[in-house]
Amino acid sequence: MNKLKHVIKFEFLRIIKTKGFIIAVMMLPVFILGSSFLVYYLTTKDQNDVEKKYVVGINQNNADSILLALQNYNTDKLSFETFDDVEKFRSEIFCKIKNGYIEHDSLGNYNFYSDNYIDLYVSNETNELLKILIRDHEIRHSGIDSAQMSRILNVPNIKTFTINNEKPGEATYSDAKGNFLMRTTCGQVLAFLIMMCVMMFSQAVGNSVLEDKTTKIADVLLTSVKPEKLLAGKVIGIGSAGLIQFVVWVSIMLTVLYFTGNSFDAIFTLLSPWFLILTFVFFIFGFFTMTAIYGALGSLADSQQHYGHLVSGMSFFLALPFMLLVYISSHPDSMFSIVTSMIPGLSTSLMPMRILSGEVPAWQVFLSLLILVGSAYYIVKLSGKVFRYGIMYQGKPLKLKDVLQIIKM
Amino acid sequence: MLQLKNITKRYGKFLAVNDLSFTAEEGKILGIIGPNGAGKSTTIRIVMDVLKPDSGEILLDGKPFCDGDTDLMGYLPEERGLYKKQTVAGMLTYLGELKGMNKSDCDKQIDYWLNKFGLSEWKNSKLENLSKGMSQKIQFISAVMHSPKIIFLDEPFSGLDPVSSDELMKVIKELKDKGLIILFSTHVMETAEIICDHIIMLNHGNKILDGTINDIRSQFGNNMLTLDFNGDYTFLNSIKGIIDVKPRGNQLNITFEKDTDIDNLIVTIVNKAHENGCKISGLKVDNPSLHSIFVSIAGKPASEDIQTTKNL
Repeated sequence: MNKLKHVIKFEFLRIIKTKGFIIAVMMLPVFILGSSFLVYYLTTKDQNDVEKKYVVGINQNNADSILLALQNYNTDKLSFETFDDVEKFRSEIFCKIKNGYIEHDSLGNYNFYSDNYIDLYVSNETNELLKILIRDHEIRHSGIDSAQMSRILNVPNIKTFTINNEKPGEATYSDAKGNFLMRTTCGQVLAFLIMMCVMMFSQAVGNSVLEDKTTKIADVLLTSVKPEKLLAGKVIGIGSAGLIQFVVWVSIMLTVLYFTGNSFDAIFTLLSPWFLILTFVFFIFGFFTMTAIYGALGSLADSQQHYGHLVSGMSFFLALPFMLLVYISSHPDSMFSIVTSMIPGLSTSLMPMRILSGEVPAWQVFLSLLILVGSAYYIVKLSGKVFRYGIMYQGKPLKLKDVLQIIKM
Repeated sequence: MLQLKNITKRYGKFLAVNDLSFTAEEGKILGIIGPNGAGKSTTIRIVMDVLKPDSGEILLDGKPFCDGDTDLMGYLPEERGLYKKQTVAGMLTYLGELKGMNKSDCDKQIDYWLNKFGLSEWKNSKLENLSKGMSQKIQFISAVMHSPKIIFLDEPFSGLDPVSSDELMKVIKELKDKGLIILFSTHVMETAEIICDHIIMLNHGNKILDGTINDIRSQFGNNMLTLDFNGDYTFLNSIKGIIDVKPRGNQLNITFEKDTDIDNLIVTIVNKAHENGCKISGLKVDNPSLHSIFVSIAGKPASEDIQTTKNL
C-alpha cells in the first residue's frame, strides 16, 4: 500500500508540474472565455455600427405597388430608393455606392440584382420584407377586414405552466423554451467537459506507460512494485490530476455565470447534490475504465506510432459522444439515447447529460451505473493482466489475436 | 546466499530457461554470461521476482523468496532508463522510496553517493541535462542507495569512459568487500575475466558452464599461444595445427588444435617467421580466453549473434 502511495504521489506531481497541465487547467478556460468575449464584442460592435448602411434600388420601370411599398420600411441599416436609369444605378453598384436593386419582371417574379459580393443580410432582409408585403397584400384583397387580419397575423404565444408536485392544484408560470435551452446547454457543456477530461487523461496514462516501457525504466520499477500496483498508481495519480482539472473548469464556469448573473440560480437548482454525486460516480468509474484500457494499450506498444495505431479505435469510440451531444440532449428519452447511455464509456458523459436534459427513470440510471461498475471491474482486471504482460514484452509488434491470447492466459 | 534450484520457464512452446540451478554467495561476484536469447534476461527477471518460474524455487539464506525480499535487491538494467524531466534528487528519492526507504534516509544516501561519484553539484539538475556517463552513474546509485543485499548489474560499464569505468569498478569491489551478493552480466568477456569470481554460461536456456574462471579455462586446455610479433603474419595460417590467428596490437593470439605438439609448433613458427623476415620478441603458452570459450560454445561471436526478437 505504501508503494502504491508513492507511485500515486509521483505520477500526480509529475503531471501537475508540467506546462501542459498548467495551460490546460488555467489557460484553456481563460482562452475560451477570452475568445467568447472577443466574438461577443466584435459581433455587438458590428451590430451597433450605424455608419454601415445598405442601399437597395427599386427599378421604377419594372415595379408594382408592392415593390414601391418597400420604401416605407427603411431602417438604420437598410434603405430602399427608386431609380429609373438602370445603367447609372448598375455603375453605382460596381462602385460599391449601392448594394443591389430589385425589379418585377413580366412573368410576375421578383428579381434581385447585385455584383459578385452580395451581402446575404441585404438579400435575406429584402426577401423577408417582400414576403410580408405580398402576404399582407393578398389578405387585404381577399376581403378580410383589418381587425380579423390583425388577429390572423398576431397569434398569441402559448404560455407554459409547471404543475406544482406538492400542491397539484397550483401551477406556476415557466418559460419552457428557456428552461429547455438552459437544461440542454448545461447538459452538453457538462458532457463535453467530462469527455475532454477522460480523453486527455486516458491519453496521459497511456503515454506515461509507453514512456516507462520505451525508456526501460519499467524494468527498474517492476523490481520494486508489482505491475498491477504500478498501473493502479498511474491511473489514480494521473486521474487525480484529471479530477482537479475537471473541478477547476466547472468552478471557473460557475464563477463566470455568477458574475455575469446569467441563470446562475436556475443552474444551481438543476445541479442538485444528488445529481452531482451521481455525475461524480459515473465520471470516476468511466474515467478509471478508460484510463486502465489506455494504460494496457500503452504497455503493448513499442513506439509512439504503434501506440497511435492501437488507441485509434478507442479514441474514435471516446469521440462518439461529441457527435451525439446535440441529438441526445434534444431527444433524451428516445430509444437511441437510452441505449447509448447504457454503453460503458459513453454512459459516463451521456447519462448525466440525459438526466439534465430530461427526466430519466431511476431504473435506467441504476441499470446504466450497474453496467458501468460491472464492466469497470472486468476491464480494469483484464487491463491489469494485459499490462503485466505487455510492460515486459519486447519483440515484434503485438496483434489483436496476441492480446486475446494474453487475456485467455 | 542466493540459490536457484531447478528453475524452468517456458513461453508457450519456447523453453527460455531449462532446469537452471546455481548459487551466489556473499562477497562474491557471479558472472552470468551467454549469447543473446540464451535466457539471461528471463533468469534476471525471475531472480528479481518480476517473473514467476514454471517450476523450481529461489532461496535467500535458505528460505523461500517472499514479497518483501525484492527490497533487498538492486538492479542496474542493460538499457538505462530514467525520467528525463525529473531532477536527479527527485528521481533517486522516488526509486529509493519504492525500495522502502524513508525521505530522510533517501536524502542522506543521495548526498553520500553523489559525493562519491563527484556529482553533488548536479543534485537538483534535470536528468536531461546530464551526459550519458553521468546518467549511468545515477542509475547505478539507484541500484545501490537502499543498501541492498543482492545487486544485479547488467553491462554496468557500457558507455563509460576508462576513468569512469575504473571508478565504477572500484565501487563494485567495495560493495563486494562489504559482503553483497553481486550478479553480473556482460558480453565483454575481458571484463568478466577481471571482475567475476565465478561464472555460469547459459545457451538456449541451458547452463553449459559453471565454475571459477581458472576452472573453466583449464577445462578447455592449453591451446592458446600469444606472440609479441612484428611483420606480416599471414604465413601462420598455413602451419598445420593452427586454427585461428587474431592480431591485437603488436600481439598475435594463436589458437591451435588441442592434440598439437606444442614444442614442435613453436619451433615451426619461429623458423617460418625467420624465413619471412618477421621478428618474435616474446612468446607465451596460455589457456584459452573466456572470449574464445564463449565464441566456440556460442558458435559465432556474440556481437553477431543478435536476435532481434527477444521474448520475455
